[in-house]
Amino acid sequence: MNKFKLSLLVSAFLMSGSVIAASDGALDTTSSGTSEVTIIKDNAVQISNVDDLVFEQQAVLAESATLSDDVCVFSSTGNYSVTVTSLNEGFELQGEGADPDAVTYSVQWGAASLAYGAVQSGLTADATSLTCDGGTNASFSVTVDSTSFNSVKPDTYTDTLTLLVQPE
Amino acid sequence: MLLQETVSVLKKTLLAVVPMALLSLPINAFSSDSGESKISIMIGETAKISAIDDWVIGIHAADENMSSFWEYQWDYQCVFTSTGAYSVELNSQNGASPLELRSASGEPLAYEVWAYVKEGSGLSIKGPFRDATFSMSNLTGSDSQTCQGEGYGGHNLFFAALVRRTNFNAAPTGIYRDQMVITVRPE
Repeated sequence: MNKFKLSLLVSAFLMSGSVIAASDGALDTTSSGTSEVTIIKDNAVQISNVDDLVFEQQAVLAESATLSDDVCVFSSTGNYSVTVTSLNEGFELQGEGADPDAVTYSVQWGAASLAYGAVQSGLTADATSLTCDGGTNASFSVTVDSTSFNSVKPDTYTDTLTLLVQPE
Repeated sequence: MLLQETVSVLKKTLLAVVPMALLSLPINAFSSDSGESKISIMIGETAKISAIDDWVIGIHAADENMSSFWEYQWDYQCVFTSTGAYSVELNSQNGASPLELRSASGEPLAYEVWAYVKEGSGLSIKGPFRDATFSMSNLTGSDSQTCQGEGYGGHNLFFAALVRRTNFNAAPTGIYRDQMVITVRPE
């Protein structure tokens, strides 16, 4: 029986920003925590809460498989664009074994399908909270094509997406 | 003669007593006995600061000027201490006195810190603090690690980083940052 493990590692590209995280102190004879102090005077944008997408191991896909991830996009202008590229330089999961095959997939931002490397404009971000007040306001999804999946040999197939967000 | 007899009696007595004493030494036989062992463990006084959030003073577009006199935002913390009292020390990682936020290109933007602290049952405002390191002592902590029953949404220590309009409007475009290390100690 063929067995497959598919994964997508996602890296977020942060324009003019970095992940900001406060930390609590521990219970001890003294206790120290940290807090980032920030004021922004810029057209800044940040994407956070990005997770990896790991598909379950499958032998055969009866239909195309989709996984999605909810993220937070902050933009000081309130609007942003997103561009998705990948380490494999195409929406293809590459096998890790000898003489590897490739499995094609597609990417959606919300309900919109994204062409590889194309700019998706006119998106609405959170303009007041860097972390969407702990919530999310956007999502992306990856769909693995069943026909492509069922035609390749058993292996582990991976790619790494880069999600580039820019203020508009 | 009498002396010789006396010495002889004493020798016999000693010979009889010494074996009895030797026999009795290793036995230590008692029907009951007791001893004392003092056990101690020292528990140090403890403190914990939690519920720390990042202090985001404000978000402005690149060409935006601040219209209000200053900008700040209160951020709430919880301090537990086993003694009931504590001191708090803040250290700026940028290390400038007076305090500076800095952009990625190193441009400075002056700021200051204000605090609401609990002293007894009431809150007192402290500030402005402008040094890279500053502290406050004899503050009242919570006896709950999560500040249950403290009021103020379960918080008892409040900080606001504040930027004044004249400084902000004169600053070039950038994202200005500092990191504060907040250390609490039981008193």
